[in-house]
Amino acid sequence: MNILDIKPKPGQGVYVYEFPVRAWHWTIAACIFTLFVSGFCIAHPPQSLTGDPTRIFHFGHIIMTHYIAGMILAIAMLCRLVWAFFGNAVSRQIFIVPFWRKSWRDGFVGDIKWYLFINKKPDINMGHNPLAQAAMFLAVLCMFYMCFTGLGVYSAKGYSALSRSFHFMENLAYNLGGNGIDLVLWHRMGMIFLVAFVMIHVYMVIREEIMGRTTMISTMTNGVRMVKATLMQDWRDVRAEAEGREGQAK
Amino acid sequence: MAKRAFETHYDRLRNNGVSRRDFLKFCSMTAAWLGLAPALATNIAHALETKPRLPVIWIEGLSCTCCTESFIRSSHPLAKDIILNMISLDYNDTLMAAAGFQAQDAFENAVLANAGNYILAVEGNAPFGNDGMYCIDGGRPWLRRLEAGAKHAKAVVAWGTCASWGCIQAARPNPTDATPIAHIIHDKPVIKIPGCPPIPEVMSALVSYVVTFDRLPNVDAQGRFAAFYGQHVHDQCVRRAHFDAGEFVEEWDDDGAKKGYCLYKMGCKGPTTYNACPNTRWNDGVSYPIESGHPCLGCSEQDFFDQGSFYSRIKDIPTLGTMATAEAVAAGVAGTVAVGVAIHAATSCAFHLHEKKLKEQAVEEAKIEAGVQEENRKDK
Ligand code: SF4
Repeated sequence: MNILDIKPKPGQGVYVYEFPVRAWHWTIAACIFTLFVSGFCIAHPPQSLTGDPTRIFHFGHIIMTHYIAGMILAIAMLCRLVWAFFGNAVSRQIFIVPFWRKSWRDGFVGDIKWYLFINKKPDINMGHNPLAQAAMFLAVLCMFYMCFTGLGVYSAKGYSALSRSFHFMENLAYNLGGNGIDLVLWHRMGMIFLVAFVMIHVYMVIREEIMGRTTMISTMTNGVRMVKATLMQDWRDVRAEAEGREGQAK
Repeated sequence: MAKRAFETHYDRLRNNGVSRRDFLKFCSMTAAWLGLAPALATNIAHALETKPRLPVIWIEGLSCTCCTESFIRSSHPLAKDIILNMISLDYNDTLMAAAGFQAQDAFENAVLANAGNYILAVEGNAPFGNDGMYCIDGGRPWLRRLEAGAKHAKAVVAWGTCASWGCIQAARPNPTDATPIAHIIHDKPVIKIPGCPPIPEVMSALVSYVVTFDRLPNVDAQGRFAAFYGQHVHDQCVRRAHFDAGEFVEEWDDDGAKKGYCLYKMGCKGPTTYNACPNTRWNDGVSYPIESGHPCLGCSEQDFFDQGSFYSRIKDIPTLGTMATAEAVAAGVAGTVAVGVAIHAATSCAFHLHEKKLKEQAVEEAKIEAGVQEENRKDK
């Protein structure tokens, strides 16, 4: 049975995020945080130092941090892409958005209504909810975009096989009528999207943890998605059921 | 020296008073610039002594003549005048004595006499607007001269940023539709030597290379002379150690500026500019802009005039009908999202608390109901 179709009872859980997915998530979370901070420092270098440059290498270290975190991110993204071929259905969700399915579109609209406070009760999804799935798909695209633009900027510094294979990014900038500085600009613009994504992602996860019907944060830690035992919204069901029974009895 | 039927570069240099010692120094220097093994300097010297001179025809379209100006002032301390003599111009609008019809004839004669084996150096570019009427030369659009010159050339050298990328006359909104040479000449190899102005030594190195190896030099994916445009200015910069250390000029004339710190914060474009300035330098090898204390403008890069301020590395981008820096857009987006999240979070709290209250009420009601039922049962 497809893991996405399992409907556990309240208080029960399903193992949805396999270890590679969780490891990948926390690796890139750490990388992205490091990249934000070091990237900001590269764009706005800290206050100038003085001293003998033979012995000081502070800005060099900041750039090195950015490069290393970026490389880890790129490798992690590549591994994650490969894992999608071996992992469960949930591991493929962030790469394929089934917008052609009616059920998916309904879920998408339902999620938007839930976030606009129109629906009083969110859907239960074992994987990502459709709205989150769409956002994560975009975020993954953006991550690959950041890897490509970043490696493009990096590649201009070297002649290794790795560097040369990303020279095409710089040539793309030239062919679009700009130069290497545009590549840096594109990299920054991608960062804006990621900052926005991270803010919304963290907020939504915390909100779902409190107000939703399944666990979120613990799921990314131990892999098990629980349907909460005491569902706040469920009193409506209980009451509706009770009222229904009463009506029948009369 | 045996008399030959043709003139070599060496003959011409000797005739113009360049010593053999300087000639050999020039050959070593050129071998180094081209990244060749030191032993190959003798090959260059031998080729320049024995092979026929490579003629250069120099034409000038829509340009400010800064390329020629810079060129005639070029001279390496080791070999004064050698570069200008190396190029052995057969035709140059600015430098030659002839004018008018005489000049026209000179051009045609130079093309015919050297057909198929000269290098056409093109300074400036061709405007396409109004059928090329923005650049008239000899009563006809200059474009015609470019085509005539390129037709019999061995190769075309796009000399300077105008010819390579379009430069200032092609900056937005480009009223004359100025078009770089590589977009006009498609049937001949076009070697770009960008720079505003470009480094004169690149031309003498090019000529030496072609004469020595009988082929055109390697170019990168953008058609630039790879030996000189393979590295960013930043990666050859004299101030690079300060960059890596985190020692920056914070404002003009501050202590850092006096100590020669890195100009990154003053908007240096060195990290994205391909050129050889730090290696070859300018004006008798004295200095180059960054060494003299001014950030790199990125003049040898495509579109350098449309990148926003010369004193900012952060490009302007069109935003809602105006230009804003990428930074301002980022701050705006992040701020909007943050406010959105805060409002949504506040609403969610209210919603959640309201639901909770409803639930508590429901539980209370259920309790009371249960109590009533219990009493009813007892009554029975
Ligand atoms: S002055 Fe410019 S080119 Fe030189 S190290 Fe600093 S940023 Fe790089």
